[in-house]
Amino acid sequence: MKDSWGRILFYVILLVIQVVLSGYVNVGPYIYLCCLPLLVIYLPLNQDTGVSMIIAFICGLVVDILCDGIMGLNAAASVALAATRKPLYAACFSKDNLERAVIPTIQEAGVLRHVNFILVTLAVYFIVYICLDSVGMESLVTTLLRFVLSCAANLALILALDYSMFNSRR
Amino acid sequence: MTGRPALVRNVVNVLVFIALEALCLVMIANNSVVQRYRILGGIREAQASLWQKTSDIRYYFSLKKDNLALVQENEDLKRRLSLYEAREASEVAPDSVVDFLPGLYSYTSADIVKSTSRKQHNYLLIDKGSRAGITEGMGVITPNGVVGIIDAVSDNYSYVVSFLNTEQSISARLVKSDHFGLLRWEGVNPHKAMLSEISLYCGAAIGDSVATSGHSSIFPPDIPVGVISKIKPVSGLYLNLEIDLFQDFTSLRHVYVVANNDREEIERLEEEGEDEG
Repeated sequence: MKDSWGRILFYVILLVIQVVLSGYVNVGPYIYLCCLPLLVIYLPLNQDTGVSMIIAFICGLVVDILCDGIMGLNAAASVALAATRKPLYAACFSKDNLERAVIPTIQEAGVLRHVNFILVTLAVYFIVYICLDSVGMESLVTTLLRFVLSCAANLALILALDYSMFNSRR
Repeated sequence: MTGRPALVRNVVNVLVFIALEALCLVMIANNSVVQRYRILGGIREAQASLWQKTSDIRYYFSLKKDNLALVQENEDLKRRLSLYEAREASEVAPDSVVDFLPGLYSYTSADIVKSTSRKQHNYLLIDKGSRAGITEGMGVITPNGVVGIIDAVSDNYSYVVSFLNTEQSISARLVKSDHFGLLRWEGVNPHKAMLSEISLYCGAAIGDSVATSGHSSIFPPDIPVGVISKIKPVSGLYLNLEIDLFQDFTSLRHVYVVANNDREEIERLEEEGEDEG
């Protein structure tokens, strides 16, 4: 029960951070700062993928509503990430962790492996997000630049949040 | 998570994914003009491509039906053509013997059920019999030449003695000079036949066309049969011409059974003539 409340609090904090980032932090047109992927990554691993997708959809929709963006953009990217989360996790970490439904810490998994996992999940998220946002209206260079810069900036953000907030939680 | 429950769960997950993404796309399209334009454009393109594919598949499966319709249409056209030919011949020489020779031919299409082409006495079995109006002695042709003559008929099938039969011969003529003779298969090569006893003065040359003469009540005149490939003088009296046949008997599928509507009248007249003679 205590764990459930802690988890809900964790999601609320992430949503608040996301609203603050979208409303008050302007880092130019090429970078979209977003901590929603972190929320999706840390959904319980033993939870059914269908349920994870529904939770990701709701969280994405809340972010879309609160951040005054195009409704459905974050929701679509979050659902895609929730759908591919387990296979990505199995590919990046050992299957042992997946069976035990435990997300290893940076110390347990190693920095390289952890960074690799976060990068892959961010790639999935931003491929969907940027494709739906630009819908072929931007040039390939601009789209790639947006993708690379957003992945890099969010990798730093998520690693910082991960290290500061969740390592202590575990 | 093994076996059937895992499969069901995966299917449900895929359906949930598709439903949620579709919902997102609808929301995006409803909230942004650019996105709506692009998404609807993409959907229409996918729809058009799907329709094209479906249409291609439907077209493929309707080929047999189309083929049958074409055969039917071909049959009608041949029937009409024979009418025009008959009319034209009667206009040119209304009182001559030519009036009855082209006759009024009717055609019935048929598919070959079984055929041989490697024996000395080849035959074919076609899928039309007495119920379709086929009778013994009718000719069997294709647009590429003569195929044979109906020898026996059952309700639904007919037995055809193939032109590739050493005992079978048809009357054929040189298109250029109108000299005619008997065309016969010599029992060796299914692509060649011999037009025999042609006048030395016919002026035949290699490459000249040969067609049916129409000097019988079985085959209509002017069905192209083949071209001359070799000229052989015989005893200094006449020529034997080797003919390259147009008809490939090894790949026959559809044929037309041709009936001379005046056949009985012609045969009766012939019998009367023989009796008086």
